[in-house]
This record gives sequence, C-alpha cells and structure tokens, in this order.
Amino acid sequence: MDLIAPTDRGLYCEAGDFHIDPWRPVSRAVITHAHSDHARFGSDLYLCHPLTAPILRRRLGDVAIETADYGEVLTRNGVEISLHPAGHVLGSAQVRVARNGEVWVASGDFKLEADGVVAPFEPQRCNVFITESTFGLPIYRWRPQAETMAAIESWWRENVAAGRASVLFAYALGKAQRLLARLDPSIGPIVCHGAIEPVNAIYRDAGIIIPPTRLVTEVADKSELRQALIVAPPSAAASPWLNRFGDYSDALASGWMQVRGNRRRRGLDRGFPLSDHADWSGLLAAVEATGAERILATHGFTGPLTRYFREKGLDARALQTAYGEEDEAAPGAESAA
Amino acid sequence: MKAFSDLYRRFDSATSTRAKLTAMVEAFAAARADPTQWASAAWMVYFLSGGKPRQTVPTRILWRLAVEGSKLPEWLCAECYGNVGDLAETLTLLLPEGVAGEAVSLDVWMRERLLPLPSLDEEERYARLEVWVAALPQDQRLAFFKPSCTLNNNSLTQASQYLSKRRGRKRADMKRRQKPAQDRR
Repeated sequence: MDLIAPTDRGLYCEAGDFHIDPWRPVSRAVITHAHSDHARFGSDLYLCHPLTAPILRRRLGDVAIETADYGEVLTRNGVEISLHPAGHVLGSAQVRVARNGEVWVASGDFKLEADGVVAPFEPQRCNVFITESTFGLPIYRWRPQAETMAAIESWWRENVAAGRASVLFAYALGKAQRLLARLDPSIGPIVCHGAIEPVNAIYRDAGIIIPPTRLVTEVADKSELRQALIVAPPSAAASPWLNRFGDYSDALASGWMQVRGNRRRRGLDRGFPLSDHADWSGLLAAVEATGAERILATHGFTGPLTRYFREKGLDARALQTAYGEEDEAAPGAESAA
Repeated sequence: MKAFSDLYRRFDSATSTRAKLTAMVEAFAAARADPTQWASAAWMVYFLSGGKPRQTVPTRILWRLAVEGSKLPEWLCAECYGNVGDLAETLTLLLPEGVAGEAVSLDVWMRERLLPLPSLDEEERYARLEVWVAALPQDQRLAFFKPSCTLNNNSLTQASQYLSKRRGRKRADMKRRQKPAQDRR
C-alpha cells in the first residue's frame, strides 16, 4: 500500500494518521506553507515550521499549532515525519515521510534559486517525490533573480525621472517581501498596500531585513508618491484605491509574465517574470536530485510534465489535488505564482 | 538589429500612443545621427507601416527549428505553442541561449540574409537560419521571428506533417545504410 495516498480531503498518510495540506478539515494537518490553497481552515491540529506559525495564526485565527524545525524528526506509529526547506516563502517546507526504509517527499510549492530571503530548497533523496508543476512547460525558464530585480529597478528609476508613481503588483505573502528585501531602497520611498504591510511585519520579526515601508495613509506629503514604489496585491488592480496615485506606471511581478499575452490581456505597462515556483529546468533538476523512481505531479502542467518523465523512463503520473485552485492555477489569480 | 529590437520592445511594453510616439522619435533621431544606420531605419519604417516581405522562412522550417533547436519532443513544443499562442514568441522562449555574435544591422539581416533565402534549397536555408539565430542575443530574437512568422493552425499541421515525413526519410536512409552492401540494388 502507498505510504501517502490522495483522499477527498487531501494527501493522507494512513500509517501515521495525518494529512498533508488537506483541503477539507481533518484531525491532523501537516502544512507545507501558509498560502491559502495549502493551509485551510477547520482542522483540529496543524503541524508546520515555526516561521509558518505566525502567518497561519494571522490567516486562520486561534488554531492549535505544533511546530517542527527543519530536519527535526517526529515519529508517529512508526512513521518518521520531518520538514525540509522548500525555498518558496517564509517557513515553507517539503514534508519527508519515511517508514521501514521507504521514503516519500511531498514538495509543497518550491523554487530552486536561493533568493537570499528565505531558507533555500534542499533536495531530499526519496523513493517517491510528490512535486508541484505550476510552471511545468519548457517556455517557463527564469532569468537569474539579480537580472529581473535590475529590470524592475530600472523601470522604477525611469518612472521617478518622469515624475510618476510605480505601482508594482505582487502576491501579498512571499513575492512582495522578496521584492522589498532585494530591490534598492535608495531609488525612492516605498508604500505598501494594507494587505501586504502585516506580512512585512511577520517577515521582519523573523529577522529578514525589509527597508522602511509605509501605508499610503501615512504619507503626509503626497508629492512623494510620484517617486514612490507602491507594492500592492494583484487584486488591487483597477480598484479605486489606485486613483490617488494620479499618473502611474503599473507592472506585475509573476512567473506568468513570461508570456506576453498574459501581460497584454491585463493591460499592464510591464510584466516581470519573477516566480517563487520552480521553472521547467528547476523541476527537472529537483526530480533528478531526489533520485526518486516514482513521480507524482500535483497542480499545474501535470500532463506534459509527467508525460515527459515517462518518456525518460520514470514512473510518473498526475495526482488530482485542490492546490492551485484559489491561487496560481490560472494566470491572473491571487497568491503565490 | 538591436535598434529595431529595442524599438519593438518599447512598442510592446507601451500601452499609450504617446509613449509609442516618443519611442519612434528617439529611435529615428538616433538613426539620423549615424549614416550607417539609414538603410536599417528605412527597413524600420517598412515594418512599422505593416510591410511584410514575401515569406522568406516558411513555417515548416521555423517549426523544425523549434523542435530540433530546443531538443524537446515535438508534442511538448506543440503544448508550448498552444500555451503561448504565438510561434515567434514560442521560438524565443524555447530555443537555448546562444553565444552572442557580432552585431548585424537590420539592413544586412534583410538584404544579405533573409531576402536571398528563398532561392536556396531547404537544407541550406535551415542550416543558415540555425547559425544566425544561435548568434542572435535572446532579447533580439522576438523582433526577428515576429515579422518572419505568419502562422495559422493549418500551416502548423502541415509543418508537423513535413517534420514527420522528414523523420521518415531519415529513418529510411539509416535503414538503407545499415543494410549490408550486397542487399542494395
């Protein structure tokens, strides 16, 4: 019998009696990270990394949470459970499950490039690798982070020179903080949307250096806005909240911006392909590094990715989950892409 | 090619007519200052006003470049094309980064490279295209492919049939070569 199997509530380990990122309430939920399609309300007990806990509390309220550091092994009914860095967002983890020498790893969402903000991805040797495949097509190959950040900075500088605000849409948890921590704050003041500022505080508490940011209501001299970088969630696009910025240039930082049509359909001035998910090469490299002989792909381009692996002689198939449903499954959606 | 590609990118990223106008004014002012750029600037006018040279690179050759250049299975290239919805952009995203060669002006690209292509045989056309594209920096490829690609689903189907026929021929060739000499009649 498989150590982890999909049920109508989520990925279930019967031997250890726990679910991984369940999409319906369960008694024990092991959480890879705090994005809303992976961490849902209603379970009796949540197990996650200590850095995920405050985000989970903020999103789900006063729920029962147990934490485990990266690499700490918990044993339940003879099943070993441990969390390992996934490099996706703060506290994100892969879940390693082992019993009698058989090892399964559920990746959650992950990316390979070390972003200098969160703990970088650490591949785990395993027999079965349950991988995400959000960007599982070879058209999705990311440029190095430094190059994309430089492009964003030069867009911001151009706008400062032209005296207009720079509105940068980015997912509120993870992407926004990655940008804030990596962009050059000397270009101008930084203003954050109300959905982003509380997450900034959690990142700062975790020791991540994010330059000073303000809510727009805290900016007394409104002429400052014309030099400012304004970071907002994609849902703020075309909302009246933007009216106060007058003449502005807008851009979205997301892996989906790799394809021009996705940017043009949204009528954005610029699109910066920056993702917290593995690109095509990253997915192949991760799978190879695990040494797994069996691959199960969840949300994204599961069909093409698993067919590609099968043609390379691996046992690969798609796994139906509810991940990505609220978030990055479709271009233009909220959260993590 | 770089000036054309830069202008193309500015056009592509601008949503306002004023920004597009500024981009054009700046590009042509730069070209005006340098007589070696005049011929290329004339080509820019030609493309900007919707000009399209008679097809110099047929879709079947571009599709072959996508499949063989990316070293990916054809079905996967087709998935990518289906997702992007544009062959020029698919090629730009799929082909591996090349080693940037010397800068070639748009005028040389057009007059010395692309326009003479149709008079050459298929293999020679493909071979040249492969070399040129490999030496073209990634950020200039879209501006090169875009005017070269006029694709509808029909021509992609034909391109795909052409590719399997080619493979069929190759397989037959290989079989022939593998057969002992005395069997060849």
